[in-house]
Amino acid sequence: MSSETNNTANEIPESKTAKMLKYFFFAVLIALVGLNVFILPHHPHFGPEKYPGFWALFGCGIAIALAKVAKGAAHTFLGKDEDFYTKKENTGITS
Amino acid sequence: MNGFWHPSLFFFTCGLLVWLLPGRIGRWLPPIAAALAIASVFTMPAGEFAKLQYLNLNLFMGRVDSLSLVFANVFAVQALIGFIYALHVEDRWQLMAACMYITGAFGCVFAGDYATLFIFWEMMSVASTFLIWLRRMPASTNAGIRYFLFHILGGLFLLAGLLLRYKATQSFAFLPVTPAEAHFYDYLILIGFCVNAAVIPLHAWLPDAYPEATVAGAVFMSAFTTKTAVYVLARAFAGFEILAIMGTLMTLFGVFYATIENNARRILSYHIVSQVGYMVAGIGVGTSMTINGACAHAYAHILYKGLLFMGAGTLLYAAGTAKLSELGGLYKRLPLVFFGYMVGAVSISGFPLFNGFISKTMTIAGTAEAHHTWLAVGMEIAAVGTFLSVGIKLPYFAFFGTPDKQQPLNRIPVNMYVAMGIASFLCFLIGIQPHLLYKLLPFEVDYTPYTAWHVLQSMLLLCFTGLGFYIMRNKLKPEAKLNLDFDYVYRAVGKLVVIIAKWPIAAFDNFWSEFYAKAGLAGMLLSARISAWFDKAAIDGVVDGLAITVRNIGRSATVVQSGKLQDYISAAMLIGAVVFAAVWFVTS
Repeated sequence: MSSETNNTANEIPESKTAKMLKYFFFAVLIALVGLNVFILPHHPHFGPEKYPGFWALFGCGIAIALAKVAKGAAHTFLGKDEDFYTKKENTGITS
Repeated sequence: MNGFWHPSLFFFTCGLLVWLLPGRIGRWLPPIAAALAIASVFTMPAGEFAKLQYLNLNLFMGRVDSLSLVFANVFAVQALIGFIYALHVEDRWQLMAACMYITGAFGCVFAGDYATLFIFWEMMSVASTFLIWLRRMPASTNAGIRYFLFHILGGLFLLAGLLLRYKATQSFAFLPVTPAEAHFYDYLILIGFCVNAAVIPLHAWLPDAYPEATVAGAVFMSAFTTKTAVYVLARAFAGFEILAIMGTLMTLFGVFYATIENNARRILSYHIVSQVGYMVAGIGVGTSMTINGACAHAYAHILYKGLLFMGAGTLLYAAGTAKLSELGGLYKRLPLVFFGYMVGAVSISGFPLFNGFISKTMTIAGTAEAHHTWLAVGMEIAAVGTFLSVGIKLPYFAFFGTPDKQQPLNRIPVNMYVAMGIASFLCFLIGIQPHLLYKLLPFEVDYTPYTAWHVLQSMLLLCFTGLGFYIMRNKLKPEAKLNLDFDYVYRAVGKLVVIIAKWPIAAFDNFWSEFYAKAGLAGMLLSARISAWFDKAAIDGVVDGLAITVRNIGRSATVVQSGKLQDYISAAMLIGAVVFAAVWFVTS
């Protein structure tokens, strides 16, 4: 129950306009892939470009992979406390 | 204007006047200098100007051709936008530092030899350091020192390279080098350039220092340092394969960090690394299309990145923080800032109708057509990351995302809005009229950005990146964390150097103090006793006046004989400088 409260506190409740925008966005995505069936490159730079929907998959896939990998790295070994360096300096060679 | 008027002249004079005149007059001068620079650059004929001799050096300050003009053109425009943005700044030192910084940038762009280049290169380093320090906060002071040390290092690589080159070729001529004929000294120069271009792993100074600069200072710095480096790379090192690879890695590295960063200005800094990567890669591939792409991208980048830094800087100015975790829901209270920022965001992401689209796609297509398919794929991945982090994540969490934190906001001066308005307009204008930019490029352009396929491909890539964000939006929430970068290594090396240097130098200094206390003082006391005896026995009562004189000289001498090693070294350096000046005066 408490986690639900936290979630609602951090997110704006979805308004009617937001919902409309969301459906509009999905419609645009479908329309773009639809157009891709008819519009294809004459001289593809990359092999799979000739298949409709390739760049759609590429965009979405890379975005998800990048978010996963980068956040994963931040949560395991890259992310430190904000005062990481200043704290270290205080206990470093100067003392 | 007729003929060649070096834009550095305007900014240098302006810098001096800003220093000398009262602030209420002085602060109006930089936009005037920038307007004069625009007039000068737009009417400048191609050719060779301002060749002069100084200290037996042939300095060549006015090489004007299509490559230098495209950079000078956007430098002048961005200087005007930046100074309008900074019109409310009352700190005259900031304006003066910015003027000197831009003087250096124009000096580098028109430099025809390495000696001239080096002078202006160092001028940029010093002046830009002040744009960091003048924020006058402890974090800025420390970041400024690290920034300066790094640029000193880069400058030393450049200096070593150009001196060795001079020894081998008897010339400071700043001309293209082919990879097959490159020598060791050329690579030293290349490393010096790469420091300023923020080529990984030499980039750590950039995301470290830019977020700590003053609000207006960061707008200037985002435009000039890295792009001057791009210019000199394009001038001298086009076609170096290593640059193509490192450039592509930069594009990926920058977006990777931008995805996890929390500070808006640090996100934008990582995006400089990423976007400059496209330019470095284009230069490395080295075909006329990719070099055109690199120059076009530099032009577009200066405009939209300046706009983005103005947006983030305005957030910092208004809300007192640029951390996404402390911002949210500001679109209702700062709608114009949101609008300006979004124009920058869609431009950097390469949306059709905006300037990033006509330059980035040219670089990627050129790279693919030069059969560097994997590098082109890397750039497409970076394009996804760009839109994900700077196009959606940053504005989503700063302007929407969480409910408005209701922090009090400072009133934003009108000039900030005007500057953002001009930059937004130019991003859009060049986006819809690409020929305005293409006609400035060094090679003839054989590329049409607005084909059905190019537009559709970009829209597919970007809109589906949007879908990716929608799916991952909870995972991408900003966190108040620091992310380790290569500066971890540099800081460790710095500490090690301090430890190593500290022991022998401190030990010698201690030894010297002790030696002086025992041997030096004892010797002086002895000589004083002897002269006292001599004085009493022989001269006392005869020449009292002389004794007084001796005492006075002795007093003066004690000032010089401090017994401190550093005083002796500085005195020796001073004497050396005087001797050098005398010798030069006599022999010249």
